[in-house]
Amino acid sequence: MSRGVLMTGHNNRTIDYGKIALANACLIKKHLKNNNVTLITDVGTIEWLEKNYSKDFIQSKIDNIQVVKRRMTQNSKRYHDTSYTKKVEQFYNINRADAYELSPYDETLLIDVDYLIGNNILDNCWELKYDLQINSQSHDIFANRKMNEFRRIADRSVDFYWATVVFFRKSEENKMFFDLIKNIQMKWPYYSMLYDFLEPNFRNDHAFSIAVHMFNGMQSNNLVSRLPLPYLEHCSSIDDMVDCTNGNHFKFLLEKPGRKGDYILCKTKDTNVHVMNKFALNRLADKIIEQNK
Amino acid sequence: MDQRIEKALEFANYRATLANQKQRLKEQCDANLNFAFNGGLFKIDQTLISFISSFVSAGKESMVILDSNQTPVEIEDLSSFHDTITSRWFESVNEYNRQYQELANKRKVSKLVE
Repeated sequence: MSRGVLMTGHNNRTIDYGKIALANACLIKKHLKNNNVTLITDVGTIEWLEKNYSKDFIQSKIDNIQVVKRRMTQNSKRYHDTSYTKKVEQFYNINRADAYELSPYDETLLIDVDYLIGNNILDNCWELKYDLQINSQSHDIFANRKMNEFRRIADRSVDFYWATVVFFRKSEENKMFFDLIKNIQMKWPYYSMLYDFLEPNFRNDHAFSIAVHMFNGMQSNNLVSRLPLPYLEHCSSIDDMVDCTNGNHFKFLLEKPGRKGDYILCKTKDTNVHVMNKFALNRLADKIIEQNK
Repeated sequence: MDQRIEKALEFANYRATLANQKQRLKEQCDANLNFAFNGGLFKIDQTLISFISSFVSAGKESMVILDSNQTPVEIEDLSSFHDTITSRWFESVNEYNRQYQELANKRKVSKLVE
């Protein structure tokens, strides 16, 4: 039974997803037992990565690189770098639905490149008998900040599930699950109206949430298991990630709710963190790679 | 700014950072107490430990218990399962306690996130 971690990363004009993926691959190699890494990317991203890092080094951290065509989309996304800067850019990483076909593994841990691995807890997912594992809960690493947008995909809609980390085994059922996501992606305007969030841009989390709801028989129940993590942990795009040491100590500046520019310092240790400020990750990626070579 | 106000605000910032770091430790401990066994997913807590302990004490060697998803999971060697969950519990909670005590003795924001 082959096992491995799958990431997708396509650069846009501003964010070097390839470099972030390489940094995270270093952390995966360091912390996880089943640390075979596959990156799904495009020609431009991989060529850019190879300009900055040697081919040998990249191959030592990313075992398998699958080059696919980067789809031209009108999917733009607002990227924040703290409250002071924002930039609208194309978001190309919308091929999560293809993960089932593209994964070379029988058992796949699909993670976002910006979900930094800081411990080995996800090793447990291979031991569970649940063929599909996905979390609906995530905690902000700033305990006082509660974001309702991550409870449901819209006020009157279904529970929010995070496409950030998904574990799946190849099976008939999971094939159906990913086919369902493809269908949701294809008919996005219809589903966004049906599920009452009217979001013109495709969002992986929303598509997975709808698919889980449909897969559960249009009900809210626990037929789909959570990962061996009680909840994911994330920081916001208005926060800054300022340091990383040893591959498992991350430092952040977290903005206090309702007080622009007023931060508290936060350190996480042995924790996986979903870092939403991609600019901050871009700045620190070299350091993470250097420390975890 | 009045120096007294400045001091109070500095202390408030310290308290906010301390509270957040304490929460980080608690969540780290929570995550460490999740445990996969025989295909099932378990959250190790006092209830699970005492529940299993009572059957081990009564001489039961195997049993079926419900995991975090309420799915039945067969435990063939109850005593070994009990040993595993208790040692994981002590490991995680003792580490939580050690780091918590360390935090409590730090009086500066910079020390809290060292």
